[in-house]
Amino acid sequence: MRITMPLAGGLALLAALTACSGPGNQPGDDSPYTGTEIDGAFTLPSITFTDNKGKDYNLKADSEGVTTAVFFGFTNCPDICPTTMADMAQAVDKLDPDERERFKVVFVTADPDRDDPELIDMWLSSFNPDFTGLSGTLEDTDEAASDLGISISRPEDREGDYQVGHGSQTLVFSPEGESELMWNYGTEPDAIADDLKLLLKEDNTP
Amino acid sequence: MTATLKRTLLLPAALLAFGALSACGGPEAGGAAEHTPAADRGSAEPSIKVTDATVRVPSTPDVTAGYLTIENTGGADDVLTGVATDAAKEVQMHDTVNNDGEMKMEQQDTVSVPADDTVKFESGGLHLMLMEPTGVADLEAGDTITLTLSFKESGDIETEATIEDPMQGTDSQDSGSHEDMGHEGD
Repeated sequence: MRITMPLAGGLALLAALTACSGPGNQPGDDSPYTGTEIDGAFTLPSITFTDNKGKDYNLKADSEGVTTAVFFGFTNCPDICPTTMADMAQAVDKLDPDERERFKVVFVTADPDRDDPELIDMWLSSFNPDFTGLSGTLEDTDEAASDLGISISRPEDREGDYQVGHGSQTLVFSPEGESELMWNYGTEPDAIADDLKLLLKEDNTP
Repeated sequence: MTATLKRTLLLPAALLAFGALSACGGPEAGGAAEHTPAADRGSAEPSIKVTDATVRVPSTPDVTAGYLTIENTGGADDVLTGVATDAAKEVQMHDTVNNDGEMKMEQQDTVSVPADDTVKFESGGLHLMLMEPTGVADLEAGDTITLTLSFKESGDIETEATIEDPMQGTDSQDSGSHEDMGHEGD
């Protein structure tokens, strides 16, 4: 009935991480971050997508130099995806202009059959027109998701209305493309902004 | 928030409890649809009240989400069998299944509303999916549309849903009021 992603090695780690971390700090957690620290657990893969303006976007090369948050979702998702994008947009609004300059949000559609660059562009514009939205082939999308420990399941029969299951976490990557933080679904914009301010301070230290 | 009420609660006590419930439920109950028969004390009938209905400004022409709270203050279970509105082609009920972080929506044909219980449609859980919500497209935050909820026992109940901008979601407004009081150090 359903195509399940081959599990990347990182997925086991991620499942373990997810299992014990809700949004917000856990008792006994001395991390300064609300998000879960996943330093170096994943690396942005060099896979080329089409962005929401119709241009090529290589997930690794074109994200270099700025701290980048990556979220997989789809526009026909009424709840989780817009909530995550709205939370992210509200967090970005809390950054100062210099911080905003050094941070980028990348949305990757898990449903490229229905989401084309134009639709993604319109969808993102209701949250923050500066966000980047990527679509690619099913193979490239699944490979990128797998590399980042994000599961995607979509029905084999994709006629009419259908739903795509997808990892709901947002991953943050350093300017060098190494994973740093993971926010679970439901992390509040204030907590995201606080994490980002701290992270951007650290990412700025040579 | 404890929402466990004994079946035997007298009506005034139950009402008090509901006041408390809606106080921490987010937005003010704008167009609350009251449907509380006067003398249902001890009667074996459900008594349904729908509050806090909101619908998001759509981000695509295809779909948007709706949320609401259903309280059954009666002495019998009821079942929500469907939701309709003139503002969308179809309204589906979905639940969110979280499997180790992989979120998947599952369509629900019915949603049970047990006696003395409250069922919340909220982000990350049960929610309404309004398909092709053309009647919402031109509306702005603060406008309202009518939703009709069909219950197996209680029949059709209408409620006014307030249009809401996801960029000013009620969830974050809720916690926003605490933002200056204590940082994340608890």
